[in-house]
Amino acid sequence: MKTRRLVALALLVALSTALHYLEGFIPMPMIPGYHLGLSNLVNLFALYYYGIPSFLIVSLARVFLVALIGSGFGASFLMSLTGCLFAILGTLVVHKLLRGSIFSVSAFSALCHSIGQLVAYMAFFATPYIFVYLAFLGPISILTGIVIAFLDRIVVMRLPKGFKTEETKRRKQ
Amino acid sequence: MDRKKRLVSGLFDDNLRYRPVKDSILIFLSFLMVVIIVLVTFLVRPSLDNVHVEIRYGSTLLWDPEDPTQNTAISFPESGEYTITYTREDGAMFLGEGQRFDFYGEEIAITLYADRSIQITKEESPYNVCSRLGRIYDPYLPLACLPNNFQATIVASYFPEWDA
Repeated sequence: MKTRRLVALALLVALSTALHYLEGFIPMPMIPGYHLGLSNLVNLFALYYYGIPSFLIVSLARVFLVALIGSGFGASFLMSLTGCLFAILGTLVVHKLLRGSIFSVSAFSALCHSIGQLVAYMAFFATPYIFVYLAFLGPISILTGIVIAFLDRIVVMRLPKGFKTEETKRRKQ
Repeated sequence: MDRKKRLVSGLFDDNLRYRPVKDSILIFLSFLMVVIIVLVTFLVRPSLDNVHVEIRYGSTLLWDPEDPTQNTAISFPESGEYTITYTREDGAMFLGEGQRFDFYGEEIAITLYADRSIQITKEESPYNVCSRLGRIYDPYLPLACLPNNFQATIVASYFPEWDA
């Protein structure tokens, strides 16, 4: 991997981690366990700007970094990792197989992230009826995913043209 | 200049543009998936006969600290309500000598009601998210207090063995 790409990915991972902690300060009292998923902004950016391998690296590295820094490798790490893996799977299915746009990719991956966390909870506490909570978490995850996609689209489209062209040339080589 | 514009638009704009038909179908399918999962979960609910309560700290099953029989299948009261309180020092009883429960505040109280519902009535998690959950009436719908690593579940006698 070239140095420039490595540095860019490292910055993206740092940004994703920072956004993850930032959204922890935004209280969501109505739906316990729900959060905005701001770090998914960075994941989607990595997917659409750098490609699938970079997206995988940024997504997984963030989960491990957050666990190393603060939350530890307990139940919350397991839930976060499972959610991330489900989100990655959902993203790849919609992006590669179904050829959806950023909006459907983001919405479906947000839903898969929620389902993944509930699966981890079910495995950890042996209570399958936690999926009833998906009735609240599911729709709001999908809507949040669409909003995140909209914001991400603005970020990618607003990048300076010279910077985009340079990256495009490098990819064509 | 035109070639540069073509390079940029070909790579980025196509995937970023909203496609009304395809994206609408995919988003609709996502909602449909939610409905199906929730429906299936409701359809296989166990019966409410012969239920008891299980309380866990992490994966450790707890009993009422005031129960000498140490029965982890906690029964509902016949009338009124019954509150089980756990303090940090009770951790020694369940986790081993010298251990303490690690949660916010000094104690956690879980109340069992005669109508076969449970509620976390006293805790000090951030924003008191656990107390805001309210009463749980359904079996296997966990009353979870994740910040404090506590969980209470109404367990029905009839439920098929589930292997992870």
